[in-house]
Amino acid sequence: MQMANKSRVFYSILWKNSTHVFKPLLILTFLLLSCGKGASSGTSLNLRHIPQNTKESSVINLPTQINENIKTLNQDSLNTHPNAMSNATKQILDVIPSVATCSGKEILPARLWRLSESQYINTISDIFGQTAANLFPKLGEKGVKASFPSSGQSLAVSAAFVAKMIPAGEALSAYAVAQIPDIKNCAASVQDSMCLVNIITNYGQKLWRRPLQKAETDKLLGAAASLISAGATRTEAYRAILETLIHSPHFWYRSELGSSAGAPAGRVKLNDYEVASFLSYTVWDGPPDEALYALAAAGTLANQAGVQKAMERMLKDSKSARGLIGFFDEWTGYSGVENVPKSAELSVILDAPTREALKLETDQFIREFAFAQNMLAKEFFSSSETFLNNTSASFYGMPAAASGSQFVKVSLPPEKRAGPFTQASFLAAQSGLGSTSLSHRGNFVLKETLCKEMKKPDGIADATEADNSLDLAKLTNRQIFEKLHSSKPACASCHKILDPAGASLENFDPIGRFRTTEKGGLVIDSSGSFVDLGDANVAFQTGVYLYRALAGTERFQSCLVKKYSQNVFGQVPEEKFSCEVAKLNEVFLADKKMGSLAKGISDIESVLFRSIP
Amino acid sequence: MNKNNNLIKSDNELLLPISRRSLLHGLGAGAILAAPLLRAALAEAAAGTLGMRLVIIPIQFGWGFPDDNTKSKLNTGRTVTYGNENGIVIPPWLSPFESLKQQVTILDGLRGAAWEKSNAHDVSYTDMLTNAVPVGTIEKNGGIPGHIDRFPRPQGPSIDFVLGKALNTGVLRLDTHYQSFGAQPHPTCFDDSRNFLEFQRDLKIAYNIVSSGITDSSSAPMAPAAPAFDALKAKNKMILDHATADINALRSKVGADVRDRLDLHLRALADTGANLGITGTGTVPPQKTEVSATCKKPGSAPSFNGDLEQFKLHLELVKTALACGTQRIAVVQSGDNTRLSDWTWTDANGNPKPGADLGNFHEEVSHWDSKGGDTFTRRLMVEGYYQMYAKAVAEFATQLNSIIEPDGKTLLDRTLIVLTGEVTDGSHNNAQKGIVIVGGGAAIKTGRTLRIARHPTDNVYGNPLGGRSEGDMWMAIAKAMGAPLTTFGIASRLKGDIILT
Repeated sequence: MQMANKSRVFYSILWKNSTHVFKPLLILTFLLLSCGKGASSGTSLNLRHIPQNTKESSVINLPTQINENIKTLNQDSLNTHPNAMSNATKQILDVIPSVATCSGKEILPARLWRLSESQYINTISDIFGQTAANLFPKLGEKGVKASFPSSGQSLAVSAAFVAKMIPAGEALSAYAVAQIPDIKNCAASVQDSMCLVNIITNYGQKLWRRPLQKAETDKLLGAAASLISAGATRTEAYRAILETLIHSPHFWYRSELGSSAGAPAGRVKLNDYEVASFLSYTVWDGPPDEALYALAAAGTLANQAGVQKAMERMLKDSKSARGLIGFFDEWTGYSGVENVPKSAELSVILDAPTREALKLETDQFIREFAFAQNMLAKEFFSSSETFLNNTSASFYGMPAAASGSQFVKVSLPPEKRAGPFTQASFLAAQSGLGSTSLSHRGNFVLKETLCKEMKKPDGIADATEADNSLDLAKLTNRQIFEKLHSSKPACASCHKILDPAGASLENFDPIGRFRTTEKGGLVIDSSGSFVDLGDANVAFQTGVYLYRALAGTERFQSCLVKKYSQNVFGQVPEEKFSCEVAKLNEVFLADKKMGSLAKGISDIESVLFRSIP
Repeated sequence: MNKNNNLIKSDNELLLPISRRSLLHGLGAGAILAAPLLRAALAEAAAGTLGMRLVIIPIQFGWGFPDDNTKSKLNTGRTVTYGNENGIVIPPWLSPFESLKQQVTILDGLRGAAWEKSNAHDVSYTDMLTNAVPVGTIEKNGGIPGHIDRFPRPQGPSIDFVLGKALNTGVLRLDTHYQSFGAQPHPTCFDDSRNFLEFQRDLKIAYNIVSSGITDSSSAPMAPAAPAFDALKAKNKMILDHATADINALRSKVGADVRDRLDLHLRALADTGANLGITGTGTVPPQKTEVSATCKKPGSAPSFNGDLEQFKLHLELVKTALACGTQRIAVVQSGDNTRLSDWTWTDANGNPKPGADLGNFHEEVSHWDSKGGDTFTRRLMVEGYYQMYAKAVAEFATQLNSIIEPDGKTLLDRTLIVLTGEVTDGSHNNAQKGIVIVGGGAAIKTGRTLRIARHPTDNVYGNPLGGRSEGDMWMAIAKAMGAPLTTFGIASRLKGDIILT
């Protein structure tokens, strides 16, 4: 580690004293000599010592790309390098066993689970309308490139979070007393003593996702009375009640605590309202509706049959599309296209309207094909059809859509696009400022779509010899990476798999535009083949063909189920949960349709019971 | 005088020559040692072994305990008692401490500075924290340059310096016009070379001293002075109170990992409340905040209007320093009532009156008996003056009491707030001083009054002049701080142990 630090200082000094021409070689040498160190130390290499003044250069853009690729390698890929991961996360199931053979009998623990950004916005939207939901801030907790960053149990409430929510709550309450009829009328009423009780009862249940206990209602009524007696107006008191309901932990946390009543030993049983919330936030990414609350009130969600019946209706509801969109976004981070930083040159093209149009394209793609058409997974992940408006059509080089700003179904050239992983939203979100982030993309392909957890390298060795003979301007990114990694034994063990996967998407530039050449004419080779991936050992000419080949494989589809189960569980589905995952998989395999990803939720034991943590 | 003197320009343009060494100590070694101290302190806190803290608050003319109960100006028209070892009675002029009285200790009748000649005030300034001015010293004997030679140089260091060194902690020294004749701050703290240790009067510099040692990046603004009641504040308080209560109810139902996140939520609510100027709660018990959560770098040094506000902000800084461990000892002195115009007292009809009415406190109140006039009104003025300080310190103590350490003790339990002054009530006598200790329950027995030497009939430690001295008290304080001393100051002035436990 000390040597690594000395090396950084050494190269930092060299950088300051080298000419512009030699800086690319310096970067390359640094990378070569550092290969494996980041992984060995469990930390990424810190390149902040190196000035970034060539990053945005259009005259010599080679250092830009290399530098970014280096950054990607070190800050992204190596951070998620299996060596770094092994201690931080528990291994996902390598193969989903059958229900009959699974051994992991554990179920999810009783817990509280903070609403994610999309969940609280959907909640406010369902209760008060979209205008009210727009009053709430986007917190950026999702990140751009991470996998399931906010669907887990790790979300917390910080002071910064509260500081943002206080004014949002004030804006919402002001909107509610002015625009929501029953609240508005009640606030204006002077004599109706039951009015506030009704408001607390009605909106309390919606916001806390369960009926309020009498003591809770009384406490809120007392607080409102105290405010009024202290000089607050009736409207101010009503607003205070609404804000108190919203800022309560009963709003921010989904309760899956259960109780011992009716539960076997070592388990707790979720109550009907907790089941309703679990189902709705999993399938709809939002709160229960009136019908679901009615089922909870009737006690019909207390058993598997009742849950299955409820699920049948829920899966037909259009809010299921919202649930699928939420899952996809947590998985792939495609909505990051709206804010992922790009170089000045690329930002001219990827301007704000285009970013929004590309994000909405994928939203609509999922809504139509995964929900409405309930496509086979194989079709969904290889479809060349998509939805474009004028803005995104121009970006894709397609004729303007007849409907202007409205999205219409369009067939893209099948040799250029196949499914969501070849859409610009995903590709741009998974790329760097001005580079394609080859290794990062490769890591996503393997880890996130094939559930390939690479083995820990056998020892760490330094590449001791820098190759200064490389003419970087005459090499494609893939060639550079191959020379950097694949030809070096210390790096090859991982990168021989990682780099081809990343190279498969090299036909898409850093903002997702299709290309066949780079660096002014170098022909891109995105062909390759996979090994050690079972039926996913496919050969492909480009990434488009890769996903066309992968989409129907058992490896890819079982990984899809694992990722969906991660979304359901809020955590990586470890071996101890294998029977729960097996149930989800069994239902999905019955027809392998996108809409069936959620079907198995009613079959898992965790929908009714939880382990005691 | 040390050749390496630095000239420090204070806010009143006075040039004070102090040594480089004194500068470092005066600015608080924490400014330099803060980061490692913080780490060490937090490590100690994590282990539940964080030690005692000491805050010495000298104010002009002491805290109102008359040296002769029968002649007390504050007892005009009434008889005041303070309780005994079995129970404390808070005197009326310190009534803001009533709610904390079980955490208060009164030491009544301590032998003060070795004043036998000349001016009791001027001798006592340099003696009260050093116990090192020889008996019979007059104020101009070996006077301190820059202080118009009025104050005798003590023969040893002050207790804050001694304990700072013994406990390896920085000392925060803050001053709000504790001065006479409109000039320099009174010299109360000295190093082991007998150099005067400079006090910080510039709030921005004081802020930097404290905040520079805090590595926590969170930026919580210093609590502003309490604003008037308003509907928005009441609403926000209601929101935070309910959320806090609900989370506390949930905490008992969840596992450790979820509880940790709920605790984060609680701290977020507490921070938000502080940022919104909401203190205390009306519908739920005050939330205890873990000490680590309180250790937050203040956002910036706020502007202030008036000495009282500055005094309060000094205490706010001290709270941060104590919570973070950047400094574990502080001396916060204040005085010069002629500048304290931002307070009020209540007249006999219950009407608020401006503090400025008090005029020249020293002449018109301390020497009231020679001035004549309405003694009852003067009593009300003086009482208001002490209550003003007492209220500020009580609020400070209450805040410390809301901060919990890893072992469940509060920061107030681990802080000895010693209220003292150069004389006992401005009567130019300090033969029997009354000193108040707020807090420190983790190390001393509180909620009682030790009547040390006021009357022969209730002496605990002997006759008035031979009973116990301030020096004995500092020895006892040092012991309570976990740094027992074998001697302190002039040994002959030490009379014996004071048992605070």
